[in-house]
Amino acid sequence: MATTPTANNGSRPTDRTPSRTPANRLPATSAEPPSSRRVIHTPLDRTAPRDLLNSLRRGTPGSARRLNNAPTPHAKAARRALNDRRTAMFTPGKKRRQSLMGQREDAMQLLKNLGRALAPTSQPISSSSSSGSSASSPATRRPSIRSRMSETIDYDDEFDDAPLPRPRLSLPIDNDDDDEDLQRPELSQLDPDQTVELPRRFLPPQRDSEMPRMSLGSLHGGDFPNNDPTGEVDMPSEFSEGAPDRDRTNLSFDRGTVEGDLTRRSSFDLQMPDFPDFPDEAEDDAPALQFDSPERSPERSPSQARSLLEVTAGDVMDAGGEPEVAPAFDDFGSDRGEVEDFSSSDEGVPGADDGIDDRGAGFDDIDHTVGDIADVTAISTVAADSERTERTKHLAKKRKRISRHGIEYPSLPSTFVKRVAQNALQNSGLSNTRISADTLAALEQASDWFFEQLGDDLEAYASHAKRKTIEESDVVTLMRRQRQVGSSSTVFSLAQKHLPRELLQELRMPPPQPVKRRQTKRARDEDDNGEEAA
Amino acid sequence: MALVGKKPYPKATVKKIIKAHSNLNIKKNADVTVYLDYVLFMESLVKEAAIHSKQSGERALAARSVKKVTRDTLSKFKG
Repeated sequence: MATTPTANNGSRPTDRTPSRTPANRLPATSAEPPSSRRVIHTPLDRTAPRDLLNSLRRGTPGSARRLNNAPTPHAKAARRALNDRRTAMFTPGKKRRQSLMGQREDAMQLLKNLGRALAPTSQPISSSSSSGSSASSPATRRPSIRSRMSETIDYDDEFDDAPLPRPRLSLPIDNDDDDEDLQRPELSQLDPDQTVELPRRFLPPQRDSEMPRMSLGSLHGGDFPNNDPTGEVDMPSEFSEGAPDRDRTNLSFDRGTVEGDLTRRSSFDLQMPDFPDFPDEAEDDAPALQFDSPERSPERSPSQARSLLEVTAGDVMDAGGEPEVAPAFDDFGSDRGEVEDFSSSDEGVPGADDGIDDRGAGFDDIDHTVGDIADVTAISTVAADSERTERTKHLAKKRKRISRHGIEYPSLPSTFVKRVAQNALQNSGLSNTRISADTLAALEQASDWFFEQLGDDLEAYASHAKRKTIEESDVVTLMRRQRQVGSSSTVFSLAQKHLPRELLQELRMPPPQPVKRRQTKRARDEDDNGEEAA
Repeated sequence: MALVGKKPYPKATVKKIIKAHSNLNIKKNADVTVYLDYVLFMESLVKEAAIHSKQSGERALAARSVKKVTRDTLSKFKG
């Protein structure tokens, strides 16, 4: 058997190859004496030795990788038989059966053996002494003991009367308990008759009878309409008093609010004619500063107005020429043409034209005769008109502005700015992604500045390359300078992140149209900078 | 970022603005990159402003913080 492993080892590589190689057979035949079984080869089991042990070994995981080594039914049966035989041989089953006898040997077996040994010879022992007395004696003794015990117990019973009333006592106690037990569940239940829960919430008793307890909360809402039909007589006095109190307070509050509103309105109305507030707002706009004092003057005495006018006139005269006069004048001086243009279209501005003319006249007047109140009013109207023109100019500025190079350009649409900012906000992680009007204005301002700066930079780059066209390379250079494009990110990766897909497409493969380019180049050569390269 | 059925950005306006500021023409697809740069600028501006407004305890983007941050961000985007 010791040789079979070697035979197996030798046959292992050959088993993968088709069977009946000489290597397969030779070691087996050499190891063991040839038998008739060796010659028989079943197609499934190719191994030559079909010993039981061999088949067993084949079942082990070490040889599991062999092909088709599943034991045949015969092998299984043989293995089973072998195992049975083995177990029959080695297991102490027989001994166990004997051991049952052997176990009895321990204590009783000795006696039994003795009994068996003695049984044929020995005779049952006849009681030598009187069997009846012996039989009766325990019976007599027992009653005696019982009688003693019963006597003592009886004595105890006689002496102690307490045990007897115990059941009597227990019964009434139990009855009482039962009564209490019956009462308690009643308490736990919500019975309207029980007054136990009443202290929890104070309610007028009549209310209780009227409405179910569950509607306690809702009682407050429907106080008055419910009670009025049922009868005010039943109502507790406190409650009836309380309700009007509420009404009174409400009324008073209403009065207060009404009064407050009235006072506010009245004050507002009073303030409205008050001029100083209104110009104060205008003062923030700065250019009309100098005309504010004459505006306040109509309420004051004419002498004060004159003095103020003198002051203003003095300022104006000190300014003498154009440059140092108030910024408003500067604006007027420089933008007068525009103002006139606007005045033709806008409603408030024709007054401005007149005002400007009047102002021109007013200066002369101030020079010679330090103004009448009429002049003051004229100047005030001029101031108001100048404010209006300023506002219109602001609006116009929003519409079209002029760059450094004297080219008008439109401002970015605010919706676009808002959209871009909103997209950026969603990435910023702020909880509220709303953009208020002020914020939007600030953002627009920032983007305007950004484009101005960007245009300047791009111009610098393009002109440095001696080009008259801003190319994409310029923008890329700018972005590299801005550290937006670097080792970590390319233009395309940024575009991937931030641009919509169609723009990405345009950026990735700019449609090169050589024909059009030539055309545009020619057009550019012809028209120079006059036209955009479309 | 992707906007359905809407033009992604006012191309003509951006071109006009740049042209006005630089006094130069713009090549055909350069404005796409300009728009990309603008988006990046806006992103950083809004980010900084959001940080600022968060520090000042506001829930939304505050105009004040935007104004404060604008200068720094512009200088950051100075070419």
